[in-house]
Amino acid sequence: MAVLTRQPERTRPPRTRVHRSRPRTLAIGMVAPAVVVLVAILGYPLGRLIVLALQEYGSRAVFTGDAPFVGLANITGVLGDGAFWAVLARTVLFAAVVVVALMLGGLGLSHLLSRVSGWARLATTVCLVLVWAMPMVAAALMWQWLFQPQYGVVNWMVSQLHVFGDQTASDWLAHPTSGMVLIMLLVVWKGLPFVAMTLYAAQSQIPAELYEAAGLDGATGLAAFRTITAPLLRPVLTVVALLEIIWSVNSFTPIWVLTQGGPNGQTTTLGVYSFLTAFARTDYGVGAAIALLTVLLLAAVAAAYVRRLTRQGELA
Amino acid sequence: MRRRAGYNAIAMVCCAVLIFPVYWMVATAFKQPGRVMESRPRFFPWPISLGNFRHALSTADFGGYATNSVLIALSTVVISMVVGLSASIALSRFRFPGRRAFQVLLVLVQMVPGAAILIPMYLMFRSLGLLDLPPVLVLTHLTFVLPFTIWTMRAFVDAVPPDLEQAAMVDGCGRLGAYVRILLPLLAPGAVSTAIFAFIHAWDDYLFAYVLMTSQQHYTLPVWLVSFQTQEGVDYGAMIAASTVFSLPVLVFFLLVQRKLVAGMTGGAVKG
Amino acid sequence: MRHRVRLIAATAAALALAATGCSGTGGGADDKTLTVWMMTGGPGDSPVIADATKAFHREHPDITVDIQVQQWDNIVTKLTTALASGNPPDVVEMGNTQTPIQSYAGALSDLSAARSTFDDSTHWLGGLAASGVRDGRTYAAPLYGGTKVVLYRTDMFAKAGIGAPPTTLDELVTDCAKLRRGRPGTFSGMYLPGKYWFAGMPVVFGKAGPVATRNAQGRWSSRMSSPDAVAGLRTWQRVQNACSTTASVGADTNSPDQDQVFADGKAAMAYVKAWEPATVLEKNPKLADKLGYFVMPGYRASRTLPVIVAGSTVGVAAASPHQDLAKAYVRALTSRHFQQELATKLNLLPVSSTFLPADAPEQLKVAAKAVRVSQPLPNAPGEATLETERYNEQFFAKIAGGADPATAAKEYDRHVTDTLNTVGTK
Repeated sequence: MAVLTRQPERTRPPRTRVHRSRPRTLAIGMVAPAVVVLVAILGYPLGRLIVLALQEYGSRAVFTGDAPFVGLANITGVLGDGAFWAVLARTVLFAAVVVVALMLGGLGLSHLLSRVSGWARLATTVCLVLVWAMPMVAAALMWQWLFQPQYGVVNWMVSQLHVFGDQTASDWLAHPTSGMVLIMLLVVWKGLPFVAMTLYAAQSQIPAELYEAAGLDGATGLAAFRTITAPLLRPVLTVVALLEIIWSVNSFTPIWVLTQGGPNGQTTTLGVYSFLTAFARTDYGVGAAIALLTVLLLAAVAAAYVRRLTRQGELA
Repeated sequence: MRRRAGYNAIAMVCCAVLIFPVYWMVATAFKQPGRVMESRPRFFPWPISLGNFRHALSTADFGGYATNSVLIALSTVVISMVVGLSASIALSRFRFPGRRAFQVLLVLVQMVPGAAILIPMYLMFRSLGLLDLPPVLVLTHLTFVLPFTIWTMRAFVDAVPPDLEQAAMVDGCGRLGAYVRILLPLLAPGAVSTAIFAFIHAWDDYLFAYVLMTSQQHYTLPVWLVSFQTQEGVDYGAMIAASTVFSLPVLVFFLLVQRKLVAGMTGGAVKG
Repeated sequence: MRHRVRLIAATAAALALAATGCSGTGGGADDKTLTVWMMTGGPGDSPVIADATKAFHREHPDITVDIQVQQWDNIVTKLTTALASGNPPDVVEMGNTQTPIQSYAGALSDLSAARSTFDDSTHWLGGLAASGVRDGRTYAAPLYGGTKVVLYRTDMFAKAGIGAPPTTLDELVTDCAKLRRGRPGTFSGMYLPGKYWFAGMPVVFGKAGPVATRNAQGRWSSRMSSPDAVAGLRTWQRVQNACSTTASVGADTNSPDQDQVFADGKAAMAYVKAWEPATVLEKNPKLADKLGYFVMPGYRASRTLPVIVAGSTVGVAAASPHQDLAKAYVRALTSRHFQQELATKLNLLPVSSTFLPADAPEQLKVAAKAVRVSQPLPNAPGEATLETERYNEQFFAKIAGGADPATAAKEYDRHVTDTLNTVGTK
């Protein structure tokens, strides 16, 4: 006997099939506030930033408003400064180490969070938030204090191990390599909570059934990670990684508080270099030029990502 | 079961290592004011003293600064979450003219170093006569927080298949209703992370608040925090106590947000 | 549902904010209010400022004086933007090295005419007064001075058999060796952190005079690589290495805290600012009767090391609508009476050499003696840049760390000459 299958009766056509204009109005309505705010507040300053980069703008110009146009002189000046290229190389190295450490550490912590019992998860999350909540200036001063000669707790603890000898008097921050390592440690420590919690949030969106199904097929552990977790985490992973790259390149406070870019400018990265040029020399035109160069550099790094964004309908 | 216990142990060790500097800060805050720095470190503050806290909180403007900070930070979070979430959903689910350009701009805007935009913004607000108005600070924070929120939340929205909302819409739910009732709860974990970021960004800002506000009554807490590092040297005891007090509201904010919005944080994945 | 709740919350917050925002006034918007910006750590956040206001009120009883205390972090940016805003503060205190930037920008009023009405302005301390002068015109008056003297442990000196404080740098090195005998490696005869350029630079000044000078055309040049200056740098290297621990070579006075080090008995001498002895006593009250002061000795017994006079100046905003009132307040701040209050209550050096009260504390008397031989820092906007960059800190730490002074000095000259000639000159 043939059974006629019929579509369930609909009293009116499904909303998804209605003329394009309704979803479109809603879409524009949902995006409009953000666009309005950003254009209104950022539009002028961004344009002004580009203009600033082409001007000679010091503290007198802030007062009088007169600032001569110097065309590309600010930009070529920066590019011609040998110090700039050393700073750039150092920044690339710094960012690479920090971001890799952050992503690996964050993934590890997020994996840990998904495996522990509820109480341990809450405790770990609270720990992470406490680290995140600590203001960067206080964290940097605390770091300086922990590693201080004569009064530093870490110096004391290391000395108690009796492995490296008496380290109480070591001034780690006075040497470029150990200073850089300490700065990296601080930046990674402070950045872990955001990465870990965001990755965990993404991981918790993955349905448990997928893992069960894979488990039945014999894929567990690393294989499951490769086939299920990684692909589904990719959108968030990419965003977080790119954000961390941007933030570590622009990082200023931890480096300034710990070493002021020294000794001898050997821990100066782009963020510090930019501050020294714009605010220490009160040369806001060159500061703007460096900012634009930074954006160009970061855009180049993110180019592959940005290109994918501009392709029609592509997800990250 | 044993596996879980193993993971729990690792988690506790990680916690201990990660939290040590924070513990050290808080423990030091409770030490007696004169005994804050010692060659032989004491890991537990004894006798416990509130001297540093008293010293830190006795600043005349603390109350005013705290109020300003709280209002500005909360406004930033609320506005950025509302505006940012709806924009990120639209970006993920719809095609509309200018979508591509908007996305690219969002990414580019985040690459501009914060301090670089200070002087242009100052110039703009000065010509508009809007200096020294706290709501303006909310707007400046939004310019950094909004792109971040939209971009991050969009990745979370992308990870949720549209089938769920569409099923709801088939059942007669309106599009907006479907988003609110079905999509938003699934975005809760990501929203928590993003909201904390927005709060901390507004809470920690020193430079913009200090430069764009010119009257003392409009300053925010970071100005208070800096006041313990004077040219004479650092009053470590008071500064540590001040940092501890400064960090507390973020923790409070997290606990509030996490209880109200979170489904996935403590329970694992929740899927239909 | 949640959406709507959030919307309501957002509106409520925005309205609350608008309420606080509406009460905003910036600088001296009110005709009856004089806004005064003082820096933290000076008279501004001490009760003593009320005396200046009282004196001001004797002439202008109906004007409210609003004292607002500012933080040092990023103050140059803040002052530049505030003075250029439509609503600037009327009177501003500035660090003496930051004053040239503001007078260069045109942000300060010309006080040359009013200068003669300020108490004893002809006897103003040379270095301090000069920082407020640009192209022969006065844009800021000195507010207070400060210099450093050597604080020492009289008991440790007695124990080491040292009868009197050293009068030359060589004697200082010998005394350091005597004090070090029998003490652990963490002890310094004189604690001199490598980055402490306020201690290192005078050693160079004492041998070579000013390092950066301006020629008739107004062009600066730095001569740190001259033989005299290099000799001075070598002396700094020798004194720092002999007197202070190896660990202190790259340290500054805050990390570790110099006063803590001294209070813990880890040093017999330290080069201190006006308020540091009080901090030392707070950390270790047992030292109360064991402290003494002397002026940092120079190369010969007849001439102490030239000190750097730091301090603050005070100026009137060019865009302020209350020019006469502001100048009247500056007059109150520079008056003999107020300056003497600063000396006795805050241990700050008065701006005029004739103001020193007879009952000044011992430390201040020693400081006043020290100031007789002083060397001002270059009076250029670029000097503030060098300080923000911490350039001198890093240079002197490098020398203390053993770098060759002749080579390092060449790089120093290049950077300093360039900075002094390009910042704030166009």
